[in-house]
Amino acid sequence: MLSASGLALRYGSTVALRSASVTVAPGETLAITGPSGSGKTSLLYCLSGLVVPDSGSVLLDGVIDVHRLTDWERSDLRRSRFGFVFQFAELVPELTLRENVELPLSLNKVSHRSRKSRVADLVSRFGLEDCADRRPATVSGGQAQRAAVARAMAHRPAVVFGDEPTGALDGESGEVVLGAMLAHAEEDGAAVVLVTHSDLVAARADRVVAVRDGETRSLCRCVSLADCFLGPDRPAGSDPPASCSCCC
Amino acid sequence: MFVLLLVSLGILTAFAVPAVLADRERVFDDRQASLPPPGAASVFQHSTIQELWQDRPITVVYLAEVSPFATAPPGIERMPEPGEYFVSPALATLSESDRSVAGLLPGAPIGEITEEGLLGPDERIAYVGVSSSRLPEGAPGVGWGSGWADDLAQRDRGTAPAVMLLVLPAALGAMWLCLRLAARSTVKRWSALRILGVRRSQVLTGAAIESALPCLLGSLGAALLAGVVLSRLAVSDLLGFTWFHGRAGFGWEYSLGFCALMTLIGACFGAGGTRRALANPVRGRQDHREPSPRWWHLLPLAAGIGIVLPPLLTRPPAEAGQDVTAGSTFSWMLVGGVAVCLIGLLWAARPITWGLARMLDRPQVALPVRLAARRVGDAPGAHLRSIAAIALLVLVAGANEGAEETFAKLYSQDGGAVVASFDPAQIPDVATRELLWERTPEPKWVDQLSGAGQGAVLVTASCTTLESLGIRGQDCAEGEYYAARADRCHLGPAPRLPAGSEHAFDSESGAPIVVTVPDAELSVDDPHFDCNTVIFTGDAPPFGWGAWTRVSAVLDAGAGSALEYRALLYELAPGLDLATSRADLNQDQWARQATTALGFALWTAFGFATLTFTMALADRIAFRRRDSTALMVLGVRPSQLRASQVVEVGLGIAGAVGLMYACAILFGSVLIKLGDARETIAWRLAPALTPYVATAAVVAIAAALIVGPNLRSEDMRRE
Repeated sequence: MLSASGLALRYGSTVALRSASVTVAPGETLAITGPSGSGKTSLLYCLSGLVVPDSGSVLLDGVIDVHRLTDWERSDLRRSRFGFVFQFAELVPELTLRENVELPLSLNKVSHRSRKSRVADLVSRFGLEDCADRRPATVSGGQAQRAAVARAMAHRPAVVFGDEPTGALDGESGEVVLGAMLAHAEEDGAAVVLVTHSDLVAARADRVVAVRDGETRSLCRCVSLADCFLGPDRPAGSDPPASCSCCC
Repeated sequence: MFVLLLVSLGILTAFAVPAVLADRERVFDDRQASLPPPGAASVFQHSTIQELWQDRPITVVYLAEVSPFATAPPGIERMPEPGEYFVSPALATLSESDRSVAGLLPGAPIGEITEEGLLGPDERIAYVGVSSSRLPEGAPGVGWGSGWADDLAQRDRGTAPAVMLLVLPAALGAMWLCLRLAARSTVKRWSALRILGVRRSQVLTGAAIESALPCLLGSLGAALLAGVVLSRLAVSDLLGFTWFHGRAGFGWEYSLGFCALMTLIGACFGAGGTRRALANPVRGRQDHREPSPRWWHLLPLAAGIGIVLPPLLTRPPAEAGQDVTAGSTFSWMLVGGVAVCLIGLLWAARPITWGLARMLDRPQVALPVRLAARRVGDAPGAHLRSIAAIALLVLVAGANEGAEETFAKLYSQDGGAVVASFDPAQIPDVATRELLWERTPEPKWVDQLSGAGQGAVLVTASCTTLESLGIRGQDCAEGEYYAARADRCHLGPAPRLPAGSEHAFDSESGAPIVVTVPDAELSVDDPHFDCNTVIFTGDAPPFGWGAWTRVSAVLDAGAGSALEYRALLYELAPGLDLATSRADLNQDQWARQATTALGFALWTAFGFATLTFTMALADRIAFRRRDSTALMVLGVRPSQLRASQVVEVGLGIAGAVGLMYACAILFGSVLIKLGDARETIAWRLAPALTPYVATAAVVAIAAALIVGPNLRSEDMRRE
């Protein structure tokens, strides 16, 4: 579905990515973990075409080099095949939650009837009925984030990118949002790429890639991801034990 | 800091204008000839003529019967003897290249007038010594420096406040916005520091210093640059006149005081901008939300228009003339209505813009337009603040157009032409008289008063002349008599001559010739003619050059033909008294200078308004950058975002500038109406305002496009 190789990116003198490579299969959930400043968010931006890397390539469906596309084409790619969820919902403040969910469908010129029925379905499934006609500034963070996930899923994208999608939420709300997101992705057959600090979130992924100093390391299911990330003696947020990576 | 430097420069320039005008006034006054006290003898005779050459005046002061005790006017070392003249450098250069100008200066140059005796480096003036026979109607003088200000100087006094009124609000508006934006950008920081325990006094001091520093540096830079800018401006004629910069500059104490004042203003703004952080640090970290406009905000404007329109649309009866009586209910309704409208404009701009935005906020409308409309609808006040300066300038421009038109009517009744006339009886030689008539350029005519005070005028002019003067009627045939039918007359309403009435005019031999007013009429709208006129269509007066006869001609003021004509008359008939309807060229010069200075001030203010607008817009778009980025991530194209920005700005332009445009026509019409009661709404002002509105729109759209966002990773950073 999506494969990146040799990605390098610098912000001035700061190296964000050194030689990052990663692949995502259709329907797969990939978690990108790593300490702060390791380059995981930069990797997500490069994978999704939001930021053009200094070198390396990102192939979609094995043939489309995302960074060789024009700005116009990348915009089209984002609006039709990708979905995004950020840590802070990043909803359009002038639009209601319902209009925000409808936005990708409008951009993709989906017919009015289909749009309405899809939005009604999403609003209902994400529990937004009570606040759907309110502006983002007037709803809670959890409601806004659920609307953001609904918006990311509205046009049935091939890949959903999540940058700390539950980072600003409490555990319970985070679980609701993540559960809804993954369930919906599974239903639509979408791949999910998640950047996260949370071991709980990483544990829900099919595969985990760790980023350290701009380089990627794949962590595999040698035992169980839950064992690696949720071991009883591991402090939260620390790297998984070596036994988790030795099995790749 | 660059903006503050520009603002300081604008303020310093505006403040320099009064000093410059005061200097001109002093010089003007110093060279006015003073009259001898009653019973005392004069020490010289003088006569001043003024002519236009390429729209600029030439002043020639003829001096005769100069006593050895006579003092010289400022700028020349001694009084010229007959056949000598002192000339300003600009006129000396001109007289070398133009024969008609040289004709005004009989004799030989003996020196140049120095800076002390000149208003500016390009002034064209000469002091010419002539014999007493050449100066039959000179005025007596005993010295120079009249001690009373001339009309020109008095009128010039109105120009300085007008320039300052235009430039200062725009410059201060730019400064206000600049400091306000700076203060707003730091309020979150000061709130955070307050939360951390920084004391109130420390916040106030820090904010004041932070804001005062760029003001100090900007004003210091401007004070250093002002000398260069003003010296260039002094010789550029951009204000409609030139001056000697070294004579009218301002001292370092003034500059220092100005820098101190600017620094103080900056400090006050900085300290004042922290009030939200001080009052409630937690709230200070949040964005401010604007209250919704209300429908009753429209009422004051509606009331103002309701007051202005009835008197504006009323036409007085033809016989009432064109004057609006000052202090009458009629004039008070016009002026009071404008005042109410001005207050109403402040209230109405928000709901009108909000209403326009709501009209576009429909599901059927394209997404960029809908988003823009939603943004404007959410915060119409914030959008209006960004275009307020430009909108205000459009309003001022409209009022200025109306004022200029009224000035033009007041001071240029002949539409820029000069009507020259002389009494041919002063020329005893018939051949010379005939030659002068022949050499007088078209359109020309002869008018003759009827004898025995019957109050009729016989005008002799060819049909071609009459047509060129705009006189219409039945077919005009040469050699015929017509009664004049007039709506507007030179000397106000006068009884028409009844058909069949008889009037006697003197022939060249002195014998009275009776003319009967015919039934045939020609409609006379030309203000040169009186109502009680009989017209004879011919190339020469039917009874020769009798008593009470006068030759008149309309000369083109701008092309120097008045000057050439005067030179011709002096050549053929020295000592002839030529009267021109624009003899008071000071008046025209004042109008020209006032118009040019106001035009310059208007465009300077427009520049500041544009700067203010661009700053406000750039700030707004930077403020909105995060929202724009969120849309781009979703796949909204940059072109769509730019379209959205243009619509956003366009809605403000359509709302506020459109409203100001309409009010500008209304206010300009009121000013024209106050000068001429017969006028109604002056729709002709609309094209004159178009450049300002077009400039506003172009600047707005260009600014909206230039500051369009690009997707950058730092814009997607998490809080």
